[in-house]
Amino acid sequence: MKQSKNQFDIVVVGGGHAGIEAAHIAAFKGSHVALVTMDPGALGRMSCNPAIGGLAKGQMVREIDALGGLMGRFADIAGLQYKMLNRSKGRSVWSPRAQIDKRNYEALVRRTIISIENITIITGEVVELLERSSRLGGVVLRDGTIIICGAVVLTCGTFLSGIVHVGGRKIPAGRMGEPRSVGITEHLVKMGFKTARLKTGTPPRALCSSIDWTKTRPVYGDIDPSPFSFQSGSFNPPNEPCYTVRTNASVHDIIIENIDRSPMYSGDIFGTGPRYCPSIEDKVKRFYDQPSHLLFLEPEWKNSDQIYINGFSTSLPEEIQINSLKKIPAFKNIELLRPGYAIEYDFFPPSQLKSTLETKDMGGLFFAGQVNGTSGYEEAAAQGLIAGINAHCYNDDTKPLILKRKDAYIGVLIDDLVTKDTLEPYRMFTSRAEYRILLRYSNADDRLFSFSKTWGLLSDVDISTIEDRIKMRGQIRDSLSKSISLSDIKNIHIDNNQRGPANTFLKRPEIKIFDLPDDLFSFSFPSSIPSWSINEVFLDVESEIKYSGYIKRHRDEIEKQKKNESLKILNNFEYSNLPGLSLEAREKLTNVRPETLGQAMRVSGITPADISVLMVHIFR
Amino acid sequence: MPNYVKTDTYYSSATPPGHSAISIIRMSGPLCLKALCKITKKARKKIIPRNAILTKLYSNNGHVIDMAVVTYYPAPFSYTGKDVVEISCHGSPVIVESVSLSLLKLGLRLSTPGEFTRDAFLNGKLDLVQAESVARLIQSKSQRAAEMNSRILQGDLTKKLFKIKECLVDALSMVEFELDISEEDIFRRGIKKHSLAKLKIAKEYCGSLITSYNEGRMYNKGLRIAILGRPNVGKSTLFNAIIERDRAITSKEPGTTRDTIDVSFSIGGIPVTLVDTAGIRESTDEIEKTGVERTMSEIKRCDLIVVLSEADTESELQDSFSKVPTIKAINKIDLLEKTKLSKLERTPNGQLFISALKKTGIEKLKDEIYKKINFSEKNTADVFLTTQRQFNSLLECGENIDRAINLLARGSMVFDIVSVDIKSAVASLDILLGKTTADDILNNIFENFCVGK
Repeated sequence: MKQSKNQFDIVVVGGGHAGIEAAHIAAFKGSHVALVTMDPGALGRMSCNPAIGGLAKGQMVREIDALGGLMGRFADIAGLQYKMLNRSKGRSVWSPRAQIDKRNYEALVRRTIISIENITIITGEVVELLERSSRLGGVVLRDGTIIICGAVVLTCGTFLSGIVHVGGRKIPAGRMGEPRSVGITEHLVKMGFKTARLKTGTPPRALCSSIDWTKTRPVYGDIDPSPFSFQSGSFNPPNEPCYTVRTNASVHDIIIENIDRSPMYSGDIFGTGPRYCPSIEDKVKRFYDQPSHLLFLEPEWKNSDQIYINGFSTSLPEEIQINSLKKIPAFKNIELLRPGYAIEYDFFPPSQLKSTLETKDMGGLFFAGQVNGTSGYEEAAAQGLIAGINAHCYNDDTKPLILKRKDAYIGVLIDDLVTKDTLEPYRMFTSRAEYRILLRYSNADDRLFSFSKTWGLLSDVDISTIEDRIKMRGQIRDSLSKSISLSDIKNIHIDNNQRGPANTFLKRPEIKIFDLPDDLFSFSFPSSIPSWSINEVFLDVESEIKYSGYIKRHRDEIEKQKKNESLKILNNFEYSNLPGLSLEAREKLTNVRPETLGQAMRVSGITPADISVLMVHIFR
Repeated sequence: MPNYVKTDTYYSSATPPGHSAISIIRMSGPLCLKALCKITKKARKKIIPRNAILTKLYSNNGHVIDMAVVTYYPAPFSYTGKDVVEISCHGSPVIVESVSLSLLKLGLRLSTPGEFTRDAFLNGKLDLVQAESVARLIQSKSQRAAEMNSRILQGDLTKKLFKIKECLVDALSMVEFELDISEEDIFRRGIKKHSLAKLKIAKEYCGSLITSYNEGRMYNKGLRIAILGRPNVGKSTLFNAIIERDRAITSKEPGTTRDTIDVSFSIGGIPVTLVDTAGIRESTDEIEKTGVERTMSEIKRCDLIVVLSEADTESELQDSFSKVPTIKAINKIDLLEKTKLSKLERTPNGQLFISALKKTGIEKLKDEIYKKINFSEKNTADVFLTTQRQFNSLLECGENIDRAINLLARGSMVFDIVSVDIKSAVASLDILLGKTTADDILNNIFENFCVGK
């Protein structure tokens, strides 16, 4: 499509983590993109905790990076400290996390997005979609401006009919201090989209100078940090500490006394909150036998005067927040820059989407991020990336990118979204991935490279960096098939000259890859590969070998499921009159409209009996 | 794949073919009631659900076929979950044939094997384990087996399996908590201890079901008992004495029995196949050599062996098949001097003293056999595994639990792998509980059903 003032290939609505990834990748692939945001100053804003990555999320950031996304690269520049979580609990669940300088991060995003030639930033609010024979034709802004486009990626997050709760106060808003959007939800509902309501919360921000830092405990990151991006060269980030304090009985007493002033307990909030991120009210009430809870004091940026009190998410009235916090010695004189609050917002139950993130009923309309009921920057960015790629493919009429559950956490994320009921904000967990052993942070490049190449998601420089890594991986694997003597292995005190392939010895739990004789690896590493990367690939190959039995089990299972995953079900398939199908199954399947038999099997409440019935009727 | 979920109506004779007091013809599907009205010439409102109605049956040209009792079970409160009608007519092949013909002409079709139970399963009336036991119940060879299968049909095994699953899911949740929620790099000792404890309980349940398999199989398939011994110790004579007829040829010549012979009968309600074998000795005779080979391979198939010998030649045979439960018996006590016999009987060493020829000690031997094979006093589980598929699944489940226990007990921190093992254990149970079954397993099960059920 030719670019003119009000004519674009793709309109991205919203400039959060989903929106910027969608806009960036589509522009990279050659689309002309209009990014419509109410506040261009808030591009890529980290509205909640000042951290990126974490359990399961760290793996996702690596995947985003391997697929040409931005998040990992910016996080590596704006990181304040890095930590590998779960380091002692099994290689496949190692998860990188970093504290992030929010301001630096936002600035990086803004600079990058503004500098991209194919992206036009438009300040405004989309209130209406234009339809052209059940395909998307354009959008209408509040001021009446019409933008013609082939595809829209909707990523307006908590801005959909948001209501902020602080104690009994209710403020219609998006995020704190930002106006909320009324209009697009109503319009989409009129078009037939279903909405539901969710809730989430955030803790108070405290003034740095009001905290007695001598009464806190510093926590540092790793001394050998791992970056998020495969493109990060020699990596030497700062190691700024976070600090911890503990709550105590006096704090809990105040919270319990005032618990009926929390809107969740008073019944003011109807949305469902995330169980994995409970408010301090919840923690104190439900785990009353715990004498204290750990709080993390996280600087929001370098030398920040604003401190994020992680672990104290609350919607109690501001004075109760302050009074209870003051019972913690370090907080004796605490001043809040902003109280904690709960926010209720609309989302569109994502069973209305295909695995491409395109809506099932309107061609060219894609949803990504919090509008789909997810929580977290990483989940949003991952969806934005996929929606951006697929919006481009939609306009180009080329094959969309659908990652499978076996390929990536992103595949698990989207498959879960389109098949499962969203009862609370969806957050990724490693246990959601049935093939977890295959989905390591350290092999994201390897497992996703064929996709990034096929869909053209990486620059030539990026491709060669990843190719070097993959080549090195192959060389290490080859070297390990060479024969060595058991007595040549370092740190192992066995006087035994037994010989055998190195990879056989490596399967023993007590033998580590770095204990193998150095001369085994007789190739030279390309100078382009930084030392953290070399180290990481060695450890990943070690995991492959140590886990080989389990990897094989996963692969066998994948092979078994392949048939079901490839059996397609028509979008308009009529379940309502299918004999033998339970009433619940008819409702659920009509609602979700699974794309494959594999998806149908994962819809909650569907029994094997239902599946047998389906198979007979659909594939006879 | 067979096209088994039909919207149409099928019927079949639910009783075996042949002459009997009554025969039952059963139909299932939406046309049931219409067909019933047609062949009884009754109005719909006269057919009261779940009431036995005495009525005449008419053929399509209006002739009376028989006087019968009919019962109508409207959906969904029926065996299959669809409309069901049962017709109890007089047990003559001619009558059954005429009724069938009438139903065919009314647009019904003959059911495929296992179709009634298949529909019961598909309509959620039975779970997979229950559906399996329907076939077992019908094919049960003994009273005990029938009881056992009916208990499975009532869901006892399913409950037990769910109990194991519950323990596994509990243990898994603890492991997953560590991996997914706790950001601490210290594994809390309490959690490790508790998940280990849960796994051990699961393992114990699993183990007791696995041991129940042999017993379960015995009741369903019956037991194979072989009589072994040197030539001419009287194996065939004993064989005939036990089954109480002259089935095997006996003679004074050693090596009379060249081939194995078997006969089925029952001891204490348990189906037993008794096998007479060729005497074991070195021979140059080709036929006898083959006979001895067959004897040796018979040992591997048997659940119990009776080793027969004579007083002076204590058998040295048992060592070679020590894995199989064995009863030792000394034959031909009628040929022994009284003093020698009483001396032997004072130091029994586990043998029984019998005379196959004079039929002394035969009842004692039968008692001993019954004692050896009757595990019921030992097994308090009351729930048994009866099919190879159940056994394999539990075995696999147990292996996975073992792996997880070993990893945890060794102090290993690779919880991602521990989790894979526990999940696999759950998955092996799911195959039985019918939660993740593939269509090929289903078809396999349903193909094992006889027509009617």
